[in-house]
Amino acid sequence: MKQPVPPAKSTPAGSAASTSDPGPQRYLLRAALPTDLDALERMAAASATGITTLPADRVALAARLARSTQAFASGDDSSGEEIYLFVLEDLATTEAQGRPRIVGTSGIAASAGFADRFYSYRNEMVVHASPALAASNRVHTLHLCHDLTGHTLLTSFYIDPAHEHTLAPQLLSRARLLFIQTFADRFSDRIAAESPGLSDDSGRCPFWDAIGRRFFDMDYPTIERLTGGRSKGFIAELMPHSPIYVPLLPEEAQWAIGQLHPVSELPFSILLDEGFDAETYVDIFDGGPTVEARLAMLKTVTRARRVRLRVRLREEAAAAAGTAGTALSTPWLLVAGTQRGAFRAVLRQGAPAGGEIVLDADTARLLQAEAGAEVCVAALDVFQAPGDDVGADGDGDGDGDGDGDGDESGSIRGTPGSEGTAP
Amino acid sequence: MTTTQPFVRPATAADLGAIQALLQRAVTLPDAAATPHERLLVVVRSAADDGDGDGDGDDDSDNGSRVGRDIDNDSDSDSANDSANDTSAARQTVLATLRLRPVIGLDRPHVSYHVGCTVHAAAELGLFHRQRTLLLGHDHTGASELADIAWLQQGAPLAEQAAALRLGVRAALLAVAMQRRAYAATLVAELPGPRDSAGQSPFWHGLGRRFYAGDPQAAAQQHGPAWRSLVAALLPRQPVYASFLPSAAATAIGQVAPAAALLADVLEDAGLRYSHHVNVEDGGPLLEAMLDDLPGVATARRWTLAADAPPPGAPAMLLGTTGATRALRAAAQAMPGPHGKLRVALATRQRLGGLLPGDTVWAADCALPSGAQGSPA
Repeated sequence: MKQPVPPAKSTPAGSAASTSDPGPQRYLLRAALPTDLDALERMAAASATGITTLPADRVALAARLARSTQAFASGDDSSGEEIYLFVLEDLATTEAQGRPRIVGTSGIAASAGFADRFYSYRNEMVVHASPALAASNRVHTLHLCHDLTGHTLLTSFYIDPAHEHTLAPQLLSRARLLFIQTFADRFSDRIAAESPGLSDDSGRCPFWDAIGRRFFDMDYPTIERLTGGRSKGFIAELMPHSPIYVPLLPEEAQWAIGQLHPVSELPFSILLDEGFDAETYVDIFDGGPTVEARLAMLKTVTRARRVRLRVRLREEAAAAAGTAGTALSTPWLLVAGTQRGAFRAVLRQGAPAGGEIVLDADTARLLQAEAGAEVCVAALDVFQAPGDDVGADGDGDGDGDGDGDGDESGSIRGTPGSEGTAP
Repeated sequence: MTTTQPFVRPATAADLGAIQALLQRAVTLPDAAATPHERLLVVVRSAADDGDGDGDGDDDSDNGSRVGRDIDNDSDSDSANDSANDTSAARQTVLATLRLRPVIGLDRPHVSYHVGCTVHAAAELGLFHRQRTLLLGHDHTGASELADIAWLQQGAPLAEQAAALRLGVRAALLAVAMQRRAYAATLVAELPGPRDSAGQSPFWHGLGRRFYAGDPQAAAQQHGPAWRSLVAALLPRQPVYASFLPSAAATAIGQVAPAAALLADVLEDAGLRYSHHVNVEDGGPLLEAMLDDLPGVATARRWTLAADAPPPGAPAMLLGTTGATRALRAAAQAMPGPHGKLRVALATRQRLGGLLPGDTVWAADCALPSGAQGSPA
C-alpha cells in the first residue's frame, strides 16, 4: 500500500530564492472567518474529485463557516459537534481589496460520526489452513466497523497548486495538530483522516462498483445526492455488514483498496510522516485509506513545546540579519498562538531556548500575541540552505534530487475533499 | 434372453465393479461392524435365458411380454425366475445404486452452504434489494442421508431409469421404517450442480477456487468424500453475498445438473424438498425431509403374509423382507385388523426369497406419480 515517507531533509524546490521573497514566512494560518466565504467557494470549485467537506455550494459553505466561527468562539464545553475551519493567507500576495490572498484551507471535525456512527472498513487478515490439503492462505477481509466513531477528524485540506511545493502545506496540515493539542479537552486523543480513493474523472470508482453498487445500483454521486447531505451512516446501514472477502472482488477493486486518488498524495504524505497508521482502515465507499493515530504519538505533537514569546528588539533584528550562518542549521518551526478564538500559526526559523523563543515584532503581531505570552512551537524536519527557496519538506514532495521539479508532487493538486467528510 | 422385474437388495462384493462404473469412482461396502445400519443398495434386474433348461420355472410368455413394458408393472402371473436367478449377481444387471447412511457429520464434518436471504431496503431512497447469502456450516450434522446415488442411463428408456431410481429410493425408505430408531429425524440427499463439458463447475470457479487453488477433482480422488471437509477449512466462514460472485457462479447456486434432473424428480416425488443448502463443490442443492413425514416411511408397516392371492386390480405396494434383504414392487392387498394380513401372489412370495404364509413382510404405499407409466396388474 502506501510507502513510508523518506526521512526529512532540506530540498530545494520551486522558484529561486530572492531577497524580496520572504519564503515560508509569507504564510499565515488562521481561523476562518465568514468573510472568507468567497475564497472557500473558489477553492471548493477548484476540485471536483473526492468526497468533499468543502461542498461546491455557497449556502452549505456559509453554514459550515458559521459553525466553525461558533466553534472557535464558543465558551461552552465541546459537544463533539464542532467543526473548525482554517485558512492559509499568502501575505506576499494581495487581492484587489488589499487583503492577503487565501491559498489554502484545512479543517477539523471534533468527533467523527458525532451523533451517528462513523463507518469504516477495517482490513483484517485471516489465515485459512488445511494441513491435509497442504494449503494455507492469508485471506484479506474487510469488516464494516465503527472503530473510528468519536475520533477527531482532520478534514478539508486544500492548497493552491502554486504553493504546494513550498512549506505552506506543512503549516496548513500540521498546525491543526498544535491546535488540537492546545485545546485537547475539545477533542479526542485519537485522530483520524480520510483520503479520497481511486476514481476517474467521470466519478467511476472501482471499489464502489464492486461493493456499493451491488446494493444500490447507483453511482456514488447519485447516492450522495439522494441522501441529501445526511450522515453517510444512513447509506452504510444498507451495506453488507458481514465481512467482505477481498478475493471475491474483481481485481480492479482489489487493487483500489487503500489506494489514494492522486490529488491527495501531498496531504496524505504529510500525515504518514506524522506517524499515522494507514494500513488498518479504508473508506466504505471508495476504498481510500483512512489513517488513524494517537494524538500523543504524532511527530508534531511530540515535538511541540510551550514557550514564552520574547519580542526581538530592532537592534537584535539587525544583528541577526548579519549572521549568515544561522539559516544553515536552524530548523523551521511551526509557531502557533494559544488563543482559540483567534488561532494563528506561522513558520519561522528559530531555536527555543531557556523556555522562550525570540520572534520579531511583526510575527508577534501576526500571532496576536504580546511579549511574554505563551506560544506553541514545533520543529519541522526542514533546514533552509543559503540560496534555496524552502519548498521541500521531507514529507511532501521530498524527492531530494535537487532538480527543483518537485518530482512526485509535481502534478499534484490539492483537494478540498481530502482528509475526510462531514461528520 | 428376457428380462424380469427389478428388485432391490444389498450390494455384495460382486456388485462393486458395476457400482463403481455407475458412480465413476471407487466405493466400498458398508462396514457392518462399524455402521450396522448403513446400507449400500442396488436395484437389479435378472436376465433369464429363454429355454435355458435351468428349471427355474420361467413363465416365458409372461417374461416375453414384459420386454419394453414399464418395469413397475407386476402381475400375479409374474415369473418366479428371480428367486433362482438373482442368487447369481453375475446374471443381474445393476440398474441403480444408492447408499443409506443412518447418520452423517459425526465422524467428519458434513459441510454445506446455507443459502439465506437478506434484504437491504430504504423506502426513502426507493431501494429494495434482496440479496442471497451463503453461509458455510454443518447444518445437517446428525441427519440421515441418501448418498452415492447413480443409475444406468445408457440405452435405458427414461421411464425405466425413473422406475429403477424410484424403486431404490422407496426401498431405502422402507429400510428406514424397518429400523426407524436407527435413523435420524431428517433425511438429506445431495444433487449434483451444473458443470461444463470439461467437468468444471462454475460455482467452484467463482467461489471455492478463490480460496483453494488446487484441483478439486484431483483432491477428491486423493482424499475421497472427506475432501470436502478438508477444503472447508479454506473456505469463507462468514456469510458471502452471492452478488459478489461472478454471474455464472451465482446462477449455479441450487441448480441441478441437467443429467440429474430425473433424480431430482424422483426424490421430490418421494417427498424431499430443497433445504436451502447447497454443496460446497458445485452448488448443487441438498434436498431434505422429515423422515416421518415421508409417505414411504409413514405408510410402512409390518404384515403377516396371507395364504391367498390378492384380488385382481389390487394396488401395487412396496414390499420388503425384514432385514431389508429384498424389496420390490408388487400387487398386494392389505387386510387391516389386529392381526392384519397381506395378500400377495405366490410368485411375489417367491421373488421375496420364498416367503411362506405366516411370514413377516414389510409394505408401504407405492403409488406412482401422476403421469408415470404402469399400474399393477
